[in-house]
Amino acid sequence: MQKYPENAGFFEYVLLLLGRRKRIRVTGASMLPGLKDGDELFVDPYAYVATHPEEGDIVLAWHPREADLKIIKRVSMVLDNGCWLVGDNPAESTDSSQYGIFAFKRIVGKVTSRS
Amino acid sequence: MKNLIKNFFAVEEVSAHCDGPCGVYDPADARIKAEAVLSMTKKILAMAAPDPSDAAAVVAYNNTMSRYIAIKEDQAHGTKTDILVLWTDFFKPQHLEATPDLHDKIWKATKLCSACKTTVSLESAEALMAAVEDIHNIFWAAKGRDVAYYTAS
Repeated sequence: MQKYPENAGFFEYVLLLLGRRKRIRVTGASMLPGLKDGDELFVDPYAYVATHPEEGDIVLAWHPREADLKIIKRVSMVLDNGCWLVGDNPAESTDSSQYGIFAFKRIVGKVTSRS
Repeated sequence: MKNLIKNFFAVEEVSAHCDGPCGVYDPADARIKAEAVLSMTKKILAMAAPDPSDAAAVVAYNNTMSRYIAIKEDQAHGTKTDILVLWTDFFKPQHLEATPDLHDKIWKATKLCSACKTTVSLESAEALMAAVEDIHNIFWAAKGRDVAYYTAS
């Protein structure tokens, strides 16, 4: 069973004020049914500074081919050199099935809650 | 209060798109092929067998008939593939709420493709065109757009 981010509690807003959270808005359908186009989320940009992602995490990653484009995907597998990222809606997702492994340095944040 | 805090900070858009051709679907693909099936079926049925003693006419007849049959089979299979791609890749569970018999419609439409492929039946070819029109209407209704159905021929 996939886990989806829960609504942000007050502490998440405190972290936002402290610069420990960023706001993002989802565009596109690759994370359906849990995350829809237009959903707003909080992201921890420091989540993976000291640790690696875990399987099931919803993460932000730099697109492997397009500069300045961040994508949102789910960690399917954690490997030695990076993660295998997939969309929850594989019919409308371009992910590791096309691009292969995402190096850890390309994964830039963890979704923590819905804002 | 939460909104006040939130709106003080910019929101960044992140992509959950795919950048392949996925997401770009159009039942027109199936319609064009189904039209070719109907056209070939009509042409096959209109062919008059030549005098068996006229060797050149027999060769020409067989050649033309073979080409019509090859195109009909190919386009019927292509129609089936296009419909199945819409079914598996475009239509989502929520579309079944608006069209509860979608699976049955797709199944019958693809069965018609098989019938058009393996037989020479004007009735099946016309029924396939009607099924494709039905899928066109369901598809564009699912996308919330009013796109008129038309045929090229």
